[in-house]
Amino acid sequence: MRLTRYSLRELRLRPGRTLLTLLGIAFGVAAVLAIALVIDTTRRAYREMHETIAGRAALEVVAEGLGGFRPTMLDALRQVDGVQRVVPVVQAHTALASPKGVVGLVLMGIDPQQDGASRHYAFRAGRQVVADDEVVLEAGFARVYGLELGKPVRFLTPSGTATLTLVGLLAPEGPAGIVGGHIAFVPIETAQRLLNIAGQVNSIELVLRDGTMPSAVAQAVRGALSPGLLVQEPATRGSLSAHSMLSTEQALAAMSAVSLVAGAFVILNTFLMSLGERQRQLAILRALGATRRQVTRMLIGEAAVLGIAGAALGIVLGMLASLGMTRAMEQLQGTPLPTLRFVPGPLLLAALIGPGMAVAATYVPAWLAARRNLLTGLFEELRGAEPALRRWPSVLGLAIIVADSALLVPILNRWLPAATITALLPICMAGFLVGAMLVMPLVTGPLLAIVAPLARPILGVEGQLALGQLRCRPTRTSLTVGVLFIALVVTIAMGTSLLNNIRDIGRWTERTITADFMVRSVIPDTGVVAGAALPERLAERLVALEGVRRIDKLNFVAARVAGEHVLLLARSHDPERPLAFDLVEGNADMLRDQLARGEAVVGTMMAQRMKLAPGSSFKLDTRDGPLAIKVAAVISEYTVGGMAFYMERDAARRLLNFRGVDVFMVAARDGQQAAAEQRLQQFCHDEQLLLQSQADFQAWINRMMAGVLASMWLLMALVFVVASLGVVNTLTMNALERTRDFGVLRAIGMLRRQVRKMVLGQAITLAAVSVLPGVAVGCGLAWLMNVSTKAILGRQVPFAIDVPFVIGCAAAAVLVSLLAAALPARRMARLPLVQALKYE
Amino acid sequence: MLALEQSKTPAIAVRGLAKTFGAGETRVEALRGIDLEVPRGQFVAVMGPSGSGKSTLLHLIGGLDRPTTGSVQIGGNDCDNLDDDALALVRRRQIGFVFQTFNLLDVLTALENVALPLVIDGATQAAANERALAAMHAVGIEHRASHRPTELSGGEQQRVAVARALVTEPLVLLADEPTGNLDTAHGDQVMQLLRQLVDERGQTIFMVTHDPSHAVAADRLILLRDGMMVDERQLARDGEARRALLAQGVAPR
Repeated sequence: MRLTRYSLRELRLRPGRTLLTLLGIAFGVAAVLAIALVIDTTRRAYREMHETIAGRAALEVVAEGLGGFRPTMLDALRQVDGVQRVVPVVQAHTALASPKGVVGLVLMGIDPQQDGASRHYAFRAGRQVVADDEVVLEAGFARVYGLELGKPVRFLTPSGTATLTLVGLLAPEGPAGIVGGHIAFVPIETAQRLLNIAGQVNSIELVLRDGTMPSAVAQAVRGALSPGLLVQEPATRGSLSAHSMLSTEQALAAMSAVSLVAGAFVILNTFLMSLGERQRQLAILRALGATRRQVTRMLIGEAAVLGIAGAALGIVLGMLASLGMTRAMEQLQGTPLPTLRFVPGPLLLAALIGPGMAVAATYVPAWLAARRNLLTGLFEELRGAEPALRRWPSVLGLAIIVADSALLVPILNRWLPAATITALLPICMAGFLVGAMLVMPLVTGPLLAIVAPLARPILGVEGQLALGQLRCRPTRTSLTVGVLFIALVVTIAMGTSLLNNIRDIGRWTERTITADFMVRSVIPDTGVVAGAALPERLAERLVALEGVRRIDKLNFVAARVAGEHVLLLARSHDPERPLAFDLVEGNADMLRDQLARGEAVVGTMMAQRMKLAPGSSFKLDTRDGPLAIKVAAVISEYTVGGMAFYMERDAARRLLNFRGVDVFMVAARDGQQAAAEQRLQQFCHDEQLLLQSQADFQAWINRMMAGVLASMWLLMALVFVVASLGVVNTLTMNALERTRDFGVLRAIGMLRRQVRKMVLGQAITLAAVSVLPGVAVGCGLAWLMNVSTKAILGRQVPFAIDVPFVIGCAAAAVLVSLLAAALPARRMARLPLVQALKYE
Repeated sequence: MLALEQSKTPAIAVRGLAKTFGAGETRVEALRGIDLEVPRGQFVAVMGPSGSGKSTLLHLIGGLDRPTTGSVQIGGNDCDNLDDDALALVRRRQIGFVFQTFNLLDVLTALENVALPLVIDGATQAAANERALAAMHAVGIEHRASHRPTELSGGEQQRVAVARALVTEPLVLLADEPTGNLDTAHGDQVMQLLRQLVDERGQTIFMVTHDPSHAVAADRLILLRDGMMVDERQLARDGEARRALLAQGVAPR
């Protein structure tokens, strides 16, 4: 049967409704696609960076903590079956002082004779490094930072400031093409000198023969390694960044699931309204002999067409949104991300989700519409009042909520693995939302009864009539209430969650950053938090400055615990100030002694993943092999998502190889803060170092988060826009359906402004009815999101409802509803009377 | 032989047809055991006061509703035990409907509306259009083929509805107050058209009407009251006899 023509005409005849449905689908698809693409890009970023840096090397030998080691086993490695070439390198994060400021970059110490076998170099100008004190940079990077061929380039290194000569400029290909060209190649001896690791390397890259399995070679290589060394795939260095991204990814995944539900609900809403309006047309088709299956198929086909068109629109919107969101993630990560790649997986998912969600949302209504009583469809006089609401959707909704709650038990009690919890949480959120929406029709009636006594006193007789119209159409009313409800729930839940996190980060910064100032070479990227170390001796010069009382030192050290990459924050502590920890478990009074004894303070996520608590211990891979480290306390930690632990710096240095200092933490003398700041500013200006006060640090964190926060607020605003379209739809339908009634009311003396007031009264009533459950469920979902994160991050962000924010959301719902009512109100008020009285 | 037997089978056969709505105090017996046979090619008019069960009878014959008890046969085929899809096929191929309110789809042109039953039955749009145009020609409305229902007068819309009812060449054409929404001139035109269909094509028509002046166009008149058949008579074909019938006040209005 070819009823497509009829379907398409229906869609064309109602452009507003078609657009609303398209937007609903496009919104859901765009959110899912943009989030999937951004997550893919950020996950790929570090993996690709290390893979590209490693070039053709499939494996690398590194020391625990990525520190230096003597490459005494090169011959033994060459003998391993499957190894074609052994390339020792030095790889570290460092800082370059350019005419345009200090910038962080990866320093690669290479053997220019051998390195071509591992990496590809395409020179734009100049040549490869040959002699000591020569450096090669990426051409674009050099241009941006005002560095010229043949001119000196200054590096800030653990051994102090070093000046090298720029001898070559590379095209942005291979390793030079990663992280925005933030990479420098120097001879291996130069790198050893700059990093204070004479005669040592910190990576031996292994290029394998074609067709060799890396895992088999790795197995053989392990036998040739001394304790403290390990063999790994270069990409595994990126795994630490995955931890730091986890909570952001979690929020984005929840957002994408909720967007999908919201989109599906908008489709359901408009589709149900459309079916209600087309009752007679569908009955005619059936009277003319169309079977139920034919009608169902026609309606599903209609939804699928809209789904495909919505998906196409959503894919375009999603791609555009992903570009903006990638910039936001770059800001958050503090590092350039690779070019956004429109990978087939997310695109295919988006293409399927569009028609899939449209068909899923419309299947049951279409099936039911095809089974409606033929006579009531054909003869309006038989139709009477809207049939009573079906109870089964509400029962199903309650069942979903109960099932969801049951699923939450193992999640909240952390009985499931973190990966399973991560996968289940968005489903749980979406399920909870779907359940709450299905229950909505059940509560709309009682809620209308609650507001009913207020309608007459507040809105007069118009309010009472408006309420009557809403009560006449319980299904449509509850659907519209549902759209506003979902907008409120999403905004309140996500917004509360965001605000709680922002507050918590502020509190964490306050407790953790107790130093008055911090001196460092560059801001590390937040994904791997690899610092560019400065010479230790700078401490003596800093402490000698006027107003400076004490200098503490901090290093970010890549470490491995039980095979997992974690970050060790090795630092000294100011004895005159409280310890800079946001304690979750442990004894604050004993902590200083415990740290001095070499015990560790672990972040909640690490504690959660490795089931650690005060008194327990973990095996840290050190240069002398695995060593048990006792846990002194568990703390809130935002660095690398909490997959980090602290140790006293001296104790850590005995276990792992790291040189220089990543951050100097400066304590000012009492009352001499201003003087200290002035001296430090001068000092840092002269040395081209970065000075951050506590306020600067907080501002930096805020800037970092601004992009992601803006993306999330924008997504929430979009939900409200779509909801407003839903309200326009309902009020227009209500008004049109009651055209004759409005005509009669006008005929018996109702003024135009009274008609307007009546339609606006409906809008206010709809908003009032959706605000009550919307606020309640929104706060409930926010709480649920809050407690659920404990299962992943190992700690619960302190939960608080931001009352002004919630009131603002409720006011926004009322405002959106009123704005949406403006057009139908105007239309009804200006209706020609005779035409209205004849309206069918 | 089979064709001959088929032609002897009544177009409509109704046995002990009853329909009850509601239950308890709200129970209404709309039809109370109707027995009726309509031979092929006969034009039957059903009259009766409001609530007498006329429309219910038509809906049951047309398969739009199911009887509480009793049976309906269309062309000798029992409709009682048919499932919904089979009943839809009966409506599609053996019955044509003409409604008081025309029930045309506003989004389609007149031609597309007429072609719709054929399209539903799987015909290509081109083939359906060809037959639809022929049906429209038969009722004299082909010149309005490309117009939407909203662009047509009431009389024209009803002609389109009649064309749609005829396009599948149904055994029975059921008309529910076909002139109810039309002025006298247009109403008369539609009745002439229906009469013509019976006289020239041997179309079986079962029509419910309130209007005695239109009822006399039929071959047979059935009177219903309180869900029962209270009178039934063959109508004379000459104008004098019909005028006499009207004078007797056949119409219960």
